Amino acid sequence: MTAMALSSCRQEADDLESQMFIEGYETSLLNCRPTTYTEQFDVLWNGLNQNYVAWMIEDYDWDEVYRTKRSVPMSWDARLEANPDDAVSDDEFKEFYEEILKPLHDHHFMTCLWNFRAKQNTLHYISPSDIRIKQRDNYDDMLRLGRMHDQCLGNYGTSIWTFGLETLNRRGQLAPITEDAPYLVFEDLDNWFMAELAVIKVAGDKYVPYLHWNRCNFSEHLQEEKKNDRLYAEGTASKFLQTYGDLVKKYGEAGQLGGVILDVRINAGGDTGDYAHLLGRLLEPGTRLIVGNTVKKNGVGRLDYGPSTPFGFYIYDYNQYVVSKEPIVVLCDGYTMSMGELTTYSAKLLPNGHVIGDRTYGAFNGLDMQYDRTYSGSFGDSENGPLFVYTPSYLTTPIDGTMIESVGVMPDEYIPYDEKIVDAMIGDIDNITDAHIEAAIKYIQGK
Amino acid sequence: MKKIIFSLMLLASQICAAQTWKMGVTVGGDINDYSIDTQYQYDWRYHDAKGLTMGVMGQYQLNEWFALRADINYTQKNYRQNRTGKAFCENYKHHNSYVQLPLMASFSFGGERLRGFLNLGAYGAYWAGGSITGTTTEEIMYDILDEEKYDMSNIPAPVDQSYPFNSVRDNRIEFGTVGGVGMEYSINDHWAVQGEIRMYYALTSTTKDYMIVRNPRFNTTTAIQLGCAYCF
Repeated sequence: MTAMALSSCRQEADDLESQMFIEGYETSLLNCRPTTYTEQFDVLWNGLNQNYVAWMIEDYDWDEVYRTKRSVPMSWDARLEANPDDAVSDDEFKEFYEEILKPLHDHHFMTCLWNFRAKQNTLHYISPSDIRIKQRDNYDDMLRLGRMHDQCLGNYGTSIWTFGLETLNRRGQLAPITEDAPYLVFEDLDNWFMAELAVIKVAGDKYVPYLHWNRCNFSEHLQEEKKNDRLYAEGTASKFLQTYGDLVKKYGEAGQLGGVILDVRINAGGDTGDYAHLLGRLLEPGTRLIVGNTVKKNGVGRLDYGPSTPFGFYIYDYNQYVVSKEPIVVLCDGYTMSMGELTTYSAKLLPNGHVIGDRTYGAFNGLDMQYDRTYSGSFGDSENGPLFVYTPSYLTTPIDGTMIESVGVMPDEYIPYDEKIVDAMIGDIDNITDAHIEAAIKYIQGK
Repeated sequence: MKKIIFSLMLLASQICAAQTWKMGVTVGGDINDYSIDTQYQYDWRYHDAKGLTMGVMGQYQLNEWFALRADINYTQKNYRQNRTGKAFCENYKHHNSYVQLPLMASFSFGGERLRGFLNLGAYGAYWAGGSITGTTTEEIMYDILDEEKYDMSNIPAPVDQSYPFNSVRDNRIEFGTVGGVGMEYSINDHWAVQGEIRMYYALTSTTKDYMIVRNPRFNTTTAIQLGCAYCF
């Protein structure tokens, strides 16, 4: 009796529903499928309250959003009930959610919201990072380059980096990889994935292997090749990566390696498994490169976090040449995201690493789409709506304690895109001058 | 009216005659239960864990059967947390140190040397420190071709770190009720030993009410302690 009386003095928990995303089961994603604007708001609010991993770094009163903003979708529902023709305009809908969501700092975070009670069920993408990137001083120049990159891939099936290598080849600055190929290209255009491999000749009879990739999608290809027993077949990702490793080894062992340039400009990120085959192929096998610490949610509360764990990469033995004396230069820009940024930041941690370019995008947190690993991250119905939220499950902070999320990695040699640099890169694609590659060559030659 | 005043004065004089002070130390072990609603996170489990308790006590005897007692003690309110649903490696022990001040009415009964007692009261506590030990899932990234390791959910990584208090989330002040029963044996006119089983039942959550949605968590700590007291 006493125990019962006492337990009634304890505050009860509210009943909360999971907000989840399971890949492949798109039709059963929402425990509560909203039928009104208010319910749509509630699912979004609760989902972020429970699943969003970056609350620890936010200074944003999410409760206040509930208290002061919920009345807006309620008024939309009331309007529609009073007059079914009084639809909420797309502008009104988007403006409302942009205002609510733009203070969030996770730069992977993106929301798809359907104005599902309007006559035309319109999908709106709301990305705080997109809003924030547009505020950068050189956004117009970034955008010009980004559009040209997309145009090249989409319309011509090639990339501006390939055009850049063509120019270097014409100028006699490349050492051919084979008799027939001055440089190699790996492409998977269905997935907008392209990589280029070349060797740049520099002064003093030195050679600099150069590798650019625009997504970290090699792992997917390697896995597929392994399944189909096509390992090391001609033209495969494994062959391409093996050639990269072989070139570094060949020049390294001959004492002719000037350095290595890894180019992750306009790199949208991807699989962490790629690391082993890219930067990992230059490092000491059997070691672990710890780049930061990561925490996961471990409860339903906004600030329920588990202990912090070192986050990093295991370096495999691919019979590689360990680049410990020669410089490893990473080129990055404002569209270097996620795994691209992890590669960039890793180079800053290496004693022989040097980063050149523009400040990166600022999407450092980790994603996986396995909801039950952390009971956090993405949720909603990406197929049918009325909302889908794409958001990380791992809050990752760099090992030096700096803030990368939403800020980006600042290069050692800061060369932001401006009108002149971008004009030189895309003004005449038959005669490209790449300020970042030139700076990398200058740096390597100065070493 | 005069009679009532006279009676009260008589009672007061009797109480004063029985007044004695008792000071002592206590030490023992405890087991803490952490009560939390894990909601839909079905495979998180919370388990009781053992800890230590030690402190000093003071007791003011008002008459033969009634005293007021106050303790100041250090009490660990530990618990374990793990996942059972999959081969995840999250297996934590939370070590929490509290400094407590229980204030109790102590009712005693029995003979001259051996007496039983019942303590009832309330306590306030300060969550002085915390740490987490155990294992979590490793966050080292492997090659996708390394199938055994690439699925990183099953490689344990050791955890041994202090608990990072968060002023928005953590409620470091705890209030609750306390009750205990025990026996005291008087060795001579001044010295006594006692044993007690006591329960601290928190009525405040270890987390602040920082969200519109509520998910409070409570400690219930049962201690078995031995004490030694000097009677003035």
